[in-house]
Amino acid sequence: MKNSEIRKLKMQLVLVGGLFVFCIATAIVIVNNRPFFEKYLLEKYKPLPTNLIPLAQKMEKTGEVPEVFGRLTEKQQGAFYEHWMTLAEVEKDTPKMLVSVAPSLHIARVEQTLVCGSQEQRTRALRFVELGFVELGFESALVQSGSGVSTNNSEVLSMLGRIDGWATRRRLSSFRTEVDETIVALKQ
Amino acid sequence: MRDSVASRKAGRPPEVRLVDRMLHGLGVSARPYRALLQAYLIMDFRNQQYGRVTYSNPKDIFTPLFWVTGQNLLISVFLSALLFARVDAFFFALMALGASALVIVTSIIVEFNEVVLDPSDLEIIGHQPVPVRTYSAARVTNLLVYVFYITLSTSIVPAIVGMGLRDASWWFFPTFLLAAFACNLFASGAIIVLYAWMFGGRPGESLQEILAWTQAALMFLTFYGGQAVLRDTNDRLEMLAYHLPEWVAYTPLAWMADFVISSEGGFAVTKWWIFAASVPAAIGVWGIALWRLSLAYSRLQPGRTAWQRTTVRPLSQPGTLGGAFAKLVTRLHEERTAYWLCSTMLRRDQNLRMRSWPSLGIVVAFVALGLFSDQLDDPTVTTGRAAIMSLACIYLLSIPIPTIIHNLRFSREHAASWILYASPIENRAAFCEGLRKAITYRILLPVLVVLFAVFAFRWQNPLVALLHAFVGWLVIQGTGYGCAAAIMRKLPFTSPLGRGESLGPIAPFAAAVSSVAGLLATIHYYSARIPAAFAAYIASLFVLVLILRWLARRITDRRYAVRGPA
Repeated sequence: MKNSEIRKLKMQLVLVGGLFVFCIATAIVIVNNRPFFEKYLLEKYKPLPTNLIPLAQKMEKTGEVPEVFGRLTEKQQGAFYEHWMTLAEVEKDTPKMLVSVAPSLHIARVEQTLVCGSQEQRTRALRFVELGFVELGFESALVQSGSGVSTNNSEVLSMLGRIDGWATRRRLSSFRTEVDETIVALKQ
Repeated sequence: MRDSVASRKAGRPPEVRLVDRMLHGLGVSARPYRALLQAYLIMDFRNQQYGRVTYSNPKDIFTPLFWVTGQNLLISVFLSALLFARVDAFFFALMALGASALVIVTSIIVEFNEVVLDPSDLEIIGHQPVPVRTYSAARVTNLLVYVFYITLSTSIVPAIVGMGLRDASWWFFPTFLLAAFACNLFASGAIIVLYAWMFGGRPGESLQEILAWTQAALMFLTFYGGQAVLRDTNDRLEMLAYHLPEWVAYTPLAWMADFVISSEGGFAVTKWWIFAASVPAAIGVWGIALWRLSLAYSRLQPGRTAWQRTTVRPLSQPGTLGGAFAKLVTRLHEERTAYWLCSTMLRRDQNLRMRSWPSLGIVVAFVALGLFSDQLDDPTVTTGRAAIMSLACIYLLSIPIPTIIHNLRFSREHAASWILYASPIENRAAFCEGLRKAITYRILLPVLVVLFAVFAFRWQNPLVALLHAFVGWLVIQGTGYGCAAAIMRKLPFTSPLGRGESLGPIAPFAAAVSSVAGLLATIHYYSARIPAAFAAYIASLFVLVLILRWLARRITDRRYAVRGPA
């Protein structure tokens, strides 16, 4: 076909129409492959920095939070949460210790995991809430907190309430059930 | 029956006559209206501003409209794929509607001449018996078709992809398209009112040229922004969608997005009143736009076609070329002349600017990516991915240099290059050195200074930042000398630009520059944490630059002395 014929209005319309058809087909492929896209929705955790490993080992050994932990930056404190999330098996004491020092930080961090994490990460984050806030008892967490951070049980409940509403809107029914169970446990 | 017989006799179907009657009722002459509209629709395929940006020539197979449609569709595909499954339906609709409105507003400004108000129309149809009302009707119909088309190209993909979101139903498709048309009609009407009324005319040529790149910039943004989102360990996009700032709820785009997501429950629960309220708003804005445009059309007078700026800035006085900084960085007067010529052309020639600046975009993108994904750390203290972007930013400074130096060959005013050939330039090698210095000091040095500031702020160590900026300076100098030796073979601004010539001929050299930069970055990475090794690396790089400088001078001296410029 000659270039002059391709440049005619009818052929140009066919070319532009072809573009539209191609992109519409791509859109349909995207719509039909939601699981593929959801597979990549997960939090990426960095390994615990080498200078914080001795502190983590000390916490595991003694079951208490050293005073130096309170002087760490929020990013460094958050690294311990990420480290706990990557452990092969659930370690039960760390959440209590972390929450006792920085409850608000960990409520925010859990909320982020519940929004941006994979299904497994969300389940693990809810387990963190149970271990940190339910089993310890929130009043105890306040008493142990020496950093002057004040929060209360309603902050966790409020966060879980927001997540519950968000999960309802996004039709994540099984996740919503898990959140509801955690709320019930927390209220008890 | 009588009508259909009459229409058959007239050779037209009955519906055409109905349209004619409607047009007649509006005071519009049907025949010139149809002829004008057809001409305008065909001209839409040849829009000039986008033609310049997409480097489309009149004889190219693909028209500028094809490329613009492709860009719009690609932006919407990238954006939809990026947001799909990651955010909720409200945020998805908000972003897609916002991107569509941004594209339509910039398109209207860029294509103001072609689709809104073209004074040159008067020269073509001024002597024809076309009433102002008919002309206005044809122009406005064409404008509406244009708005419809651009809206469709930016909205069709998000409308389909949105149906697949967890919190959306198939109602997303029609409601999103309705919302997009309502938003874009309002936005386009508002921008026309703004220019036709408040600014009293048409947008400036510079603004049009800059905004013509909006689509390209949006593609760039969605591509690199998408990478940033995928690399972001803090999940900022998802958290932004989860915790939207309160003020967003008070914007018209949020109202329309609310209308779109309310359709999830079906027709009955959809907030149709939001859409219904947007219709009179769009009609109102368009009413004002039509009023102002009709006035503008009626005021079109012969001789007012010279709206384009024809005057240029006054030249410097003889003997004062370039200013104090040029005197500081240049030695011979040939160098200073070339420095001044290059600086002036970069300031004046928008085509040259637009061919040169985008190549710097990759450095800006990597700095932004590095800041966003926490990979812009100090290479002397950090290992692994955390320092990769810092090194990439330094060595990517070499990538734009071949492109910019090569593009100095071309000019729209190349026919005037005889002045350059006839001018008394005794030392043409020094003249070329002046060009290299202009690129180095006018374009890359400011980028390097910004990079130094970012490093110093990020690393909290100005000395190390300065050391890395020095390495960046050596990279720029070395690449500049390499380019002078390898690709600076003609006097500047002496060739016309053909399709593909702005990059094609230097592709192998550019690939070689990239490879050497990659190799140097690797050596830098491994030597950075060992002070002795790092010092040795910088010293070696310095020696390499000196060798390249000597080589470049020798080659350019010989090139211009023996053969003269080709």
